[in-house]
Amino acid sequence: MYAQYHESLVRLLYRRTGDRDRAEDLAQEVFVRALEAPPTNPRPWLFAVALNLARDDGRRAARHDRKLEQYSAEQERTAAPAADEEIERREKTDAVRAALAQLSEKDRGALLLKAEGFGYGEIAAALGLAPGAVGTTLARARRRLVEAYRAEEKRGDGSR
Amino acid sequence: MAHVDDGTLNALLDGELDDAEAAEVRAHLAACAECAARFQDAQRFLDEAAELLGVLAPAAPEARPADVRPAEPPARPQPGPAGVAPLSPVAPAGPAAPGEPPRRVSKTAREIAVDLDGATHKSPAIAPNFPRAGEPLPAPDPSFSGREVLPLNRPAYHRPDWATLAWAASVVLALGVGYLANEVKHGRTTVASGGEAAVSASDSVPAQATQRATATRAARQPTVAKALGSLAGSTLGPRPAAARGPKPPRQAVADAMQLAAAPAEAAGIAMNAPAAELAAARAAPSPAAAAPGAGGVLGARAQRRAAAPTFRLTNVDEAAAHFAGTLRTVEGLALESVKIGPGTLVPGAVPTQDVVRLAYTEPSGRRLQLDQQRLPQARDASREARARAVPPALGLGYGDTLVTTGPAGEARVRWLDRSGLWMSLMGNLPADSLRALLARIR
Repeated sequence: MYAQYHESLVRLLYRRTGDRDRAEDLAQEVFVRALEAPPTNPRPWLFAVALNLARDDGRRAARHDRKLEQYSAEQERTAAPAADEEIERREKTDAVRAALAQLSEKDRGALLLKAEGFGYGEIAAALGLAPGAVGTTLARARRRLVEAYRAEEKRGDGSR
Repeated sequence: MAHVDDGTLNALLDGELDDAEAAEVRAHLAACAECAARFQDAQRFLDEAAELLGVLAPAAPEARPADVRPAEPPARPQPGPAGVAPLSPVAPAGPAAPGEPPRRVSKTAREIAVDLDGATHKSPAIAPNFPRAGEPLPAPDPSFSGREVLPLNRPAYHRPDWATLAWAASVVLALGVGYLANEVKHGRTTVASGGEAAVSASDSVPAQATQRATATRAARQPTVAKALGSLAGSTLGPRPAAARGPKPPRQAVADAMQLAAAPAEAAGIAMNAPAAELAAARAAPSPAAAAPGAGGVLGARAQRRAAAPTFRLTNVDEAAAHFAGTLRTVEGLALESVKIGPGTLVPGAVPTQDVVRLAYTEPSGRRLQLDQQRLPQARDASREARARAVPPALGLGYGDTLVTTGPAGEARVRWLDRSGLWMSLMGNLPADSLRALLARIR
């Protein structure tokens, strides 16, 4: 189970948190929980737990960890003087992340699960949606993500 | 047909409609300009959203081996019979691998059209046994083995077999009986627990206490040997115990003492730490007095303990200052004490650096001990540099979790925290329960 889902989980959590260490910690925790109560249908279960943990972790991080994270982010930034291309890529990543953060938990979850190859049935199971609602959720989530990203880009251009 | 909603358009684009539904929608799109335009929009949003999410894919440095991703979706390993439905081939899993341009998650309208002309694939619905939030969790899956879960670089902990446990238990029992017999013989009725610490606690003058403890031990040895010999002969049937073999009884006792001392030493940093520390503190003023009377292994041990530095009580703020502010605690448990002591007192820790020890009591009354130590810092904060800065003697790397069980039944989990701390959680409870507590360490 670990070998099968670990990589995909970490990828989803990385997209969700933007922090690789945190993503790996959370993935580890997901598996610890799976150990405690092995799910019969692991895939949606694991990813649902991962999304919940990421949400809780995000709240906590906002409270406690902000300074530390800022500090390490600063260090990372000063550590390697970046090329223009690199800066641009980083700005785009930041904008996408900001856009994703504006979505509702449900919309974001649906997008992230879809990106991991989930079918509508699995997305419905993981997010507790009616199977018929997944298409609508995804339609809205995609549109909002794109629109939020465009707004972020515009904001970035304006501030420069 | 009425206009098609965005959800259905997305389902079409994602290949989630069956043939008949898809054909119906396609027919409508061909006839209705409004819906066709919305279909184009949905298509654009889908492609762009997929591209944006591709941007968030983890970056290159820790590239995954290419063979991890299945070459073809149908080849992907599937979980058990009641498990998840196979992936639809029209929705390949995963975003871009490092180095490649972002992989498109969904298909273009043209590709869908091709699918519609040929065979359209659809994901079967998944089994409806997935628990929602609040529902009780399903029964454990017997095919699931926990062993594979944690990526241990070290050999996994294996349960000792019962024969070994029984043997160890009888050795401990024999020692206890010998000790009791000796106590009775000398007319003392106080039975104290745990080596020098206990004996010295029953005396008032520390130097005498240490001496007497040593002397008592030395005098006790033959008795213990006898008791051990007879017990070993009578109770240890199947397993040829070390104590019964060709070794002379005295040697056997020395071995047995060593064995029995192991939990005591582990406990010195663990469960009855206060007693041990008390004894060490008392004996400290007079190590010289302890030395002459102390012969052999026991004397040397007493001396070592007497000279050793100890943990001192402190408070959370001071301890946190020690770690530049990142002190880890166990959420939801009552903190009993905070101490700082040298790394030499804690097995597995870096001996040259101080350890901060937090003592907790679990709701069930069992004691827990969270030790932490700041590792030598790498100059830059990159992951590789941090990994290199970990002393190899720890036998741990980032991401490892080392679970051990001590001879006294106490479990211990060691790991490296991503903020550069060496961590150790120890307690008198099953390893699994202990590991579950890791989730509460903040």
